[in-house]
Amino acid sequence: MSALANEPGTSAHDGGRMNYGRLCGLLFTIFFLAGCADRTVIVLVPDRSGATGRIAVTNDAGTVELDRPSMATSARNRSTPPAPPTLMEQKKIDALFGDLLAFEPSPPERFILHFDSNGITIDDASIALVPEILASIRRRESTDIVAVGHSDTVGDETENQALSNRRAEAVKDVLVKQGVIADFIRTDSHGESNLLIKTADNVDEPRNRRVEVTVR
Amino acid sequence: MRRAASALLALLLLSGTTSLHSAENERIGIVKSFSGEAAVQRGDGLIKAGKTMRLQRGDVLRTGADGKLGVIFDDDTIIAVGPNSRISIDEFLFRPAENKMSFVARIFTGAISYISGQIARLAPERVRLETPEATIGTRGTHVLINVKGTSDKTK
Repeated sequence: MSALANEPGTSAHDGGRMNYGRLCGLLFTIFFLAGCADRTVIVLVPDRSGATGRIAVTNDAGTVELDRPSMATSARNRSTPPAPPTLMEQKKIDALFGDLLAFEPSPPERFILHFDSNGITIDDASIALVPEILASIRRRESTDIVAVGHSDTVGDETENQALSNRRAEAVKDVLVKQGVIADFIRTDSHGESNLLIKTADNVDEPRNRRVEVTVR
Repeated sequence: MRRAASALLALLLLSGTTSLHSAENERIGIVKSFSGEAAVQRGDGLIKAGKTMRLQRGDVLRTGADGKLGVIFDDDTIIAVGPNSRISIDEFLFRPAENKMSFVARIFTGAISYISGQIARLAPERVRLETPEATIGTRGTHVLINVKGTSDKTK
């Protein structure tokens, strides 16, 4: 951890100065490429679905909104307004952020398992999903799996909370029997408070009897 | 020596304020990937990034010249952290049933890619990415930020 230990401000070693010089050189190159001298640079880019969100960049002197792909701004300090938005060329985005984009963890995967009426028996179609869940866990080398149980609105709310908890535990048991480390799986239950299909009370709705498994 | 002592004091004050709103040691996400010099500063300890590492509120993500970190938070927010970075997770609260949600990350220096999760979808006004020069509020979804390193002017 030598470079971390030598960072200015945390240590008085002479070695820190050398790393700092190298860092400045690297950053000078990056910012020369980006054509920008401001210290903070912000770019809005599309997400995996192709959609672009919206952000507001604010400091003591003003606000700038970005709402289109590749739209960028920068800020020098808190008392100078953020720069008017410009479109950053793709090759500049790649030069500044290409390595970072390539390092993004892939988004969590989600599976929904359904249950026979009022019980904790996973229905046949959903049992067929179990190998896919196991494959996802293996592929991602996941150590963070969450199973959240849900019920339909038939019967008492408190009982449904307990029932959906037993469903989540049932799914955990299936995964553990297939070799997943129990410590990597958390369970939770939402009872009838988080319906997939909105219904009135006391409605038998198979799609609401479910456990949602998230593999991170 | 005096400088080290004041840095330690600042750190203690910082960790004191981060435990006000949520239980100590409460997990907020996982380190999903790491390479090179990559560590998490927790209190006054520096923990080298490793498999199955769980993050806590107040953790500071730190990377060296060749370091990178990938994190998935419990609300599915994803961040990637580039080399020479120092980024603290000042707030993370995800209890949608109680309508208690917030996400605040502070980028002192370095580069971050942020992909919004459920907190930004359910409570966008409670998501903030802070740099020394500006505050980024987001309604999603994918934002890239670079903060040039300088001497210790980040406080």
